Amino acid sequence: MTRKITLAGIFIAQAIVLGFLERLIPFNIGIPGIKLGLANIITLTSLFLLGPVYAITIQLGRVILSAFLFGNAAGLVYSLAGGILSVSAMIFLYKLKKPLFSIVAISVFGAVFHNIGQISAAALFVKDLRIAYYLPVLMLSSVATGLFVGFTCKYLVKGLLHINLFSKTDKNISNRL
Amino acid sequence: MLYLRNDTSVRELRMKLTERKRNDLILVAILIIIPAIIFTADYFNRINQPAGSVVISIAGVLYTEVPLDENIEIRVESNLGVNLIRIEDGSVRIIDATCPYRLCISHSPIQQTGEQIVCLPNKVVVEIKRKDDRDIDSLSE
Repeated sequence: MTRKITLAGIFIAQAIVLGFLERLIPFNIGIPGIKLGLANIITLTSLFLLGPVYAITIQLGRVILSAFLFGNAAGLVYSLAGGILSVSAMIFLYKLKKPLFSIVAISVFGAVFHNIGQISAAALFVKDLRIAYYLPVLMLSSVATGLFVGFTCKYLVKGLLHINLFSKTDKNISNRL
Repeated sequence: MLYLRNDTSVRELRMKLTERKRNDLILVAILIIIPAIIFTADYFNRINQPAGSVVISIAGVLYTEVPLDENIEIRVESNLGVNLIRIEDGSVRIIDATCPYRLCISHSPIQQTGEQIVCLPNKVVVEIKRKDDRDIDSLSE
């Protein structure tokens, strides 16, 4: 228990740092709102290694703290909408009775739902549905970034399972990657 | 390296893995096909529309509106800075600006309804709209 809470704290810190690093990488292809989503590496890894409750906690902690550190109130609304929807979508796929999908597909699904959440929040905020025109572009790009994040997580979780810290974690999850 | 449960033979596990890979592919394919369909539908919707108009606004306030089929250069000036916009042969681009990074100039020319060029430092938004789009705007304001 203590181990998990401590790990959650470390994961939140790492997610915030990844989110910050991502701002430094010039990843601009002419459309605003497209980003790699590196912080999702942490959320997804914690979902597999610590479980859904911790994944939600870490996601909320990261979103709120990075909004206070780097963002503003309006940004917080968008990130919260995207963050909560994304983590819920990933938990839904993860918790399916039969594990139909691997971590890569779960990552892609989460990335797409992150964008759906953000666009919905933006449409509500600006009261202009035409913002949804952005969605197809963002969906396509999030499939690509989601694949990247998903494969990163796959090998990260595989590696982490071998270290001492996760010796008590159920090894069967490596069959679910 | 796989950690095998005692009740699962290696062969069954392999089957499961390929099955999951197939599911993954289906899910990702669906997530690619949906936006692709919206894209093409939207594209055919757009090309059937008459030439629109170019709407230029500063900080959300309408600055001017000109028909897209006119060849003209417009100087957009506010206390934030100056943008020089050229409309030529149905395409619009910003050819000069006083903003620091000049990202709006490097933006490729726009010609389709709904496309925009935004200059954030100067708060200038250039958007191509349908001619009948005006009433949608007044509703949402």
